[in-house]
Amino acid sequence: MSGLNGILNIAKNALMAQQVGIEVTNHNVSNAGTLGYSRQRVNFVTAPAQLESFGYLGSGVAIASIQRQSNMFINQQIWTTNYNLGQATQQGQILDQIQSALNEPSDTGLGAMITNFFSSFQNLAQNPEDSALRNSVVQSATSMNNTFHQLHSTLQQLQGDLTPEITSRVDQINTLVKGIWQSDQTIAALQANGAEANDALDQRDNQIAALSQLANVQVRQDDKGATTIVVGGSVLESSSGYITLKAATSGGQVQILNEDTSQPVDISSGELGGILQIVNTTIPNYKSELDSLASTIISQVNAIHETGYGLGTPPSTGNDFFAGSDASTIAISAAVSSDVNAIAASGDGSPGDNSVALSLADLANALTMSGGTETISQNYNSFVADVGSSVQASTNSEQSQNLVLTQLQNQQNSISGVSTDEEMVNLIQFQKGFDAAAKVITSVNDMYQSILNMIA
Amino acid sequence: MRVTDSGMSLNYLASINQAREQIMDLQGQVASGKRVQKPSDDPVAIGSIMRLQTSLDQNAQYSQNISAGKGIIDATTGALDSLSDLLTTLKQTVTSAVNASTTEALSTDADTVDQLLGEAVDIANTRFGGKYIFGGTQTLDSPFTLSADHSTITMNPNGIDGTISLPVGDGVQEQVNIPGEQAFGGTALFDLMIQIRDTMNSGSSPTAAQVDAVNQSLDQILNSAGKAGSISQSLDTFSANLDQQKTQLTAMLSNVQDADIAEASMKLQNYQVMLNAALAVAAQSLPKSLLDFLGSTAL
Repeated sequence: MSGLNGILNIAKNALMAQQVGIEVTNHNVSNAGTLGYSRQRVNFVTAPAQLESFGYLGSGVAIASIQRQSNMFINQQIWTTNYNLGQATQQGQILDQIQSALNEPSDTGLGAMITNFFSSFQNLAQNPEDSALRNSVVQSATSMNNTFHQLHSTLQQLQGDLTPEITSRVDQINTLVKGIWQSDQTIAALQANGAEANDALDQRDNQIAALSQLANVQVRQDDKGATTIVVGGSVLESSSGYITLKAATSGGQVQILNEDTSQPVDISSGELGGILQIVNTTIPNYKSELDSLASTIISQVNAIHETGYGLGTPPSTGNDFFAGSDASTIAISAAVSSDVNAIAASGDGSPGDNSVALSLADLANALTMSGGTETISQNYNSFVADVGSSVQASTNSEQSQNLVLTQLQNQQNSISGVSTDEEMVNLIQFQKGFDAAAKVITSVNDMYQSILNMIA
Repeated sequence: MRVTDSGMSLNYLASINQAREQIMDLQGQVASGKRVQKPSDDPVAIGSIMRLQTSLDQNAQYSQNISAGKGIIDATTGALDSLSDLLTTLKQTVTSAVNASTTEALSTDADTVDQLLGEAVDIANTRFGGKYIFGGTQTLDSPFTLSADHSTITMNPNGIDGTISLPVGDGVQEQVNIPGEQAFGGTALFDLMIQIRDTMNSGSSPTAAQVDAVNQSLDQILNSAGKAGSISQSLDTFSANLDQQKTQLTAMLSNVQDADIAEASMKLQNYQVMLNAALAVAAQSLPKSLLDFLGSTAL
């Protein structure tokens, strides 16, 4: 359709197209700071050409689509990095708390307390007939016991405090999964009408990103954008529906279950996976480390102590030094706490003999731990080093995952991010296009005027 | 590569944050003087640090044991020295009594011997820090009891032969007492003195056998004093060793644990310069965009 009306029509389409361009630019600039926003681009195409007697004549511009600039491959990598980072960060924080509770290296940590306890028997050995020195043995044993109790209850409390953390994360996951399913429904409905569901896709990807920080989710998307989310072999969400999770404790172990079927869902990474690992494995291990230290000290000291003699006429013998059996129950025995003279320093009942006190002091250097390969202090030191390297490993992993994430976010930004400079250039371009189209309309108007003038 | 606004902000934030983390860590090192403040700072070094710390604590304990042992053994040496002086006097008295002619002179000598007997028993019952040093492990009961009329001497029936040892190094124990049994040979010395006194009181001169026995006793005491002296000397050697070990251990601990302040300060300055640069660049370039240059006429 050539002729003035045709020109006018092309100019009108051009005006409208440039306006859409400016609107999308405006949308982009407005959302430059919006989390998870993917910039959109207007795909201009030439309108179908018209066959005229002299050949095909272009009929101006048309808008093919408004496309969201996003790269599924990079998004996937970001989600994977998210759960690794979430796990490392979460574990680093918790392990750091345990490390602080250990308070090593210091003069007041359990290590120093154990050394002091065994040293106090050497002090007793210097003057085994002295009642006052016996009080200092009791005192250093009490300090050591208290430190054991304190460490045990710190771990116990931490384990308790983490349970609500698990529940709140399970709730978050449930909310997010439900939200993702709803977004998927919206997207499907929009796309059924042939529209691009740009902003709905952004919103859904935001929710997936949030979910990926919590758990090690595998996300699959088909070419229409329908999502399937799988965690540890269980399908959390697909176009056919979603499942709800719950946390359940049995035998001191916290498990994540499908609320409907009560089937366990294996969550091994992400913030939730990280916390589960600490609650189910790390803390019980640390507790049993402390327990085996305490029980070794109790049994070894008692075994020697029973053979010795206290002070008095006749000297008492056969007494235990410690009561209790592990880190939470270790205590001074009733016999010793009611009378410090029941502490056995002597091997034959004579008040000046210190052989039992020396044997007790020697326990500090005896290979009594780990099947006779380590001393008590060595065992504790390697426990501390173990906690330290766990913290370090988490911190290192957090740092490296952060670097990877920054790198990926840069890539994502370079595809999806808004550059105001670019948008300004586009704006000027669209504005000039608009001006030009308007100029065409003015010209056509003049031409109509000329024709009308000819008629008049 | 497209560079976007949020990408630039993220990068600036990341590099500023990194510099700040390093600065915080280095400030902690400079302030505390320690490179390893918590186990995760260096899990490998933490094992050595705690081991060295335990060795230092044990070292201090051994030094303390040595001081306690020195106290006992020096008191022992002092007592045995006094006893050997006393026996020298006894020897002179007995030797002169052999040639004494009158019963009066013998009786005077007998009184002297009796007095020496009392003093000798007192010395054998010396207490140090509330303990009878010659009582073996029976430190709370006097090893010897002289009857009121100085006629009999009895030894603690529980025995005075127990030895007392204290740890003075890893796996090394040193005996720190000379039990009365070993020092005096039981009551033999005192029985001899009673016998000589009674002989002289009965008007006879001390026999040649008695003179010999006095000489033997003096030798035995000198011997015991020598033994005490050598124990004291060996304690001194252990003490010197411990001091040397302490210096080495402290140096080793410092090597693994302490921060190189000069290096840390240098690094701190570097990171501060980096941080300043990052901040300056961010402040200058972040607010800029094409908008600043378009002007009102263009739009």
